Amino acid sequence: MIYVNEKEIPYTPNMTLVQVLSAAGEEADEMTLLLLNGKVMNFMHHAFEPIEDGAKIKLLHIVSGG
Amino acid sequence: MWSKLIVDMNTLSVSREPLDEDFRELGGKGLIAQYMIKNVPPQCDPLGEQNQLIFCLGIFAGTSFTTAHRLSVGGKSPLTGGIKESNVGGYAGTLLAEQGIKMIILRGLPEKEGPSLLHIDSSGKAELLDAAEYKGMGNYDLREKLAGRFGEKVATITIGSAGEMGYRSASIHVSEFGAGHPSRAAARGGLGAVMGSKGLKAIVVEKPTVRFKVEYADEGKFRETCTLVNKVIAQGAQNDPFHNIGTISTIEVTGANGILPVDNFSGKLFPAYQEVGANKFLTNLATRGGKNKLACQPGCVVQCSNCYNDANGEYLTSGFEYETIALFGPNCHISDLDSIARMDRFCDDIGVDTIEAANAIAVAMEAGKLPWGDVDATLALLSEMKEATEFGRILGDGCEAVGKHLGCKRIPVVKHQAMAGYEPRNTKGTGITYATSPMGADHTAGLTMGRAFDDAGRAAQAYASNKLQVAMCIADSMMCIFAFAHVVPVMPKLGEMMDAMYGGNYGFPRLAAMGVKTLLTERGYNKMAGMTDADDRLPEFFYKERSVATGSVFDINDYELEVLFDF
Repeated sequence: MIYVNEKEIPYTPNMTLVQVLSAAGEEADEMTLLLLNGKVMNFMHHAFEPIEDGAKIKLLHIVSGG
Repeated sequence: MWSKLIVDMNTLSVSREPLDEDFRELGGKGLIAQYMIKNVPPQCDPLGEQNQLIFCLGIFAGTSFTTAHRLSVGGKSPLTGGIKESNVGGYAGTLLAEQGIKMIILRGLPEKEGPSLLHIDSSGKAELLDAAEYKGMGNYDLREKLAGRFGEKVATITIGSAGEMGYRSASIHVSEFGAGHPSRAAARGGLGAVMGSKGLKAIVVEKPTVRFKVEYADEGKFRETCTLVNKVIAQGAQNDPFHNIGTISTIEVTGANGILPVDNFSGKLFPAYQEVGANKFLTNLATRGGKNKLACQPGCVVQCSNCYNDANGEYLTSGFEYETIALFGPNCHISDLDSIARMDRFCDDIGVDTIEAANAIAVAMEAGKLPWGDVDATLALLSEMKEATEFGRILGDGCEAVGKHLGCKRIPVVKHQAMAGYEPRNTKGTGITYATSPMGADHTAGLTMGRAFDDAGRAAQAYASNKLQVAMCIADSMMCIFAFAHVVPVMPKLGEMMDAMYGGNYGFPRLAAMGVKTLLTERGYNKMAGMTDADDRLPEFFYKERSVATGSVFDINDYELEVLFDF
């Protein structure tokens, strides 16, 4: 199982990040950051990388500048 | 009824008067614009007798609305020569609201030597006290002395030595809620120098014995709507990187997209940007006892603030933000987060704007005054501001002063104010905002970061800048812009809150009209101060030099900039 914003997504081998988010009904773009198992990642850099079973993903959307 | 404090620095007297009826429905940025146009001559000397320094609260001050107690500071800017509103979080806004004081107005210049201190005690009595013993003190020592004298729970508004010396990049510092560090800054435009010129070193606000109660046209309706809006903002904040990490998270986006300024806005990429990014920051917090998710003022649900410790676990700085990290970091070719934190602490202590100081250092690096990426040389140069050496005084006057002194051709300023941490060739809507904002190159005036805007073409970029500049005038009149970003799904509710508080049945158009009026008033003020269309331009190199990262130039033409505000 993969967890996206606490929603459970059934795991299948070699699922990419884009596929996981699609299955969760979530959208992401260049303004989206991810917390993948607590580590910050840029969505655009990792979109087509496989996600491991048990991964916990939190989507963070930049909505304004610092 | 709300009050205003009139502080006359000529006579060293303070009077408390009812707030003007004309200003009843205004707050923050909107209130400052209307006060300035009526009371402060646009052509006055910013450090002279006729300028005034205004502190004021937002439209929803005194209520339970989240981030309602942001404090706006305004006056004629010694840096831009135009109108300036710079707002800040921290605890002072909350205590001023509890005191029933919506505005503090500083007028005149003192005849006596040595600074004064404005003390507002728990009974609401306000008086000026001699502050000679604090002369020349940095914000951190000063806060400690004031907390020792008046109690740890007071809120303080202070200037460091930079404000006393009249540096045009001098900031005004407000103590944080909780720890009380003087790390929240109304930083932009040199308003700290205006406070210094008035001879006021600090304002100390005590918690009142009797709390002021706000009047509502329909209190039940206000509370019902406010609760809903607070809930929406809190939900939105849960997936906001600023809440989960801090504003440093912005590095992860700007660094990857060519928006992060590098080597004095050279347009290059900075491959090591993650050395000053979110994971490094979170690791340092976790291993050194630092904290994020802190509220700088009571009731904030975004909680983007932080406390950053050094490698020994000792407090180093707080409110450690993206702009400081981007501009002292990659824009000076520095990739050590701890070193940048030391620069932040130094600037907070003497009281200068980190954006202005960091850009000035980058320009000095380009001119060969010090090597790119040299941390020790940067700290040594910054310390010259404190020592008031000849170059230190020039540095204190900001990026443009340093660039001109050293003969640098590439000076990233608009209206004499240094750019924030966004490369305008690669976020052109933001470049339009830099060019046309009455504030000068300002990141809070209407940031349009995002490829969707840029891919949609020039008209979309101009449209986005225009709408966001109006929206930020609304936000800065009532709340923190980070919370405002989450209001979008229920934006009309803000109009309902306004009606429930002040009466009428106007809805959101009342706020939209206020936003437009504020922006046009600010532009009108600047025009009367002598600014022209030529001041609404980016420096020439952004039009001519291609960004190495993307190949872009800033290609928004003069006509497109000049018609931006033809409403």
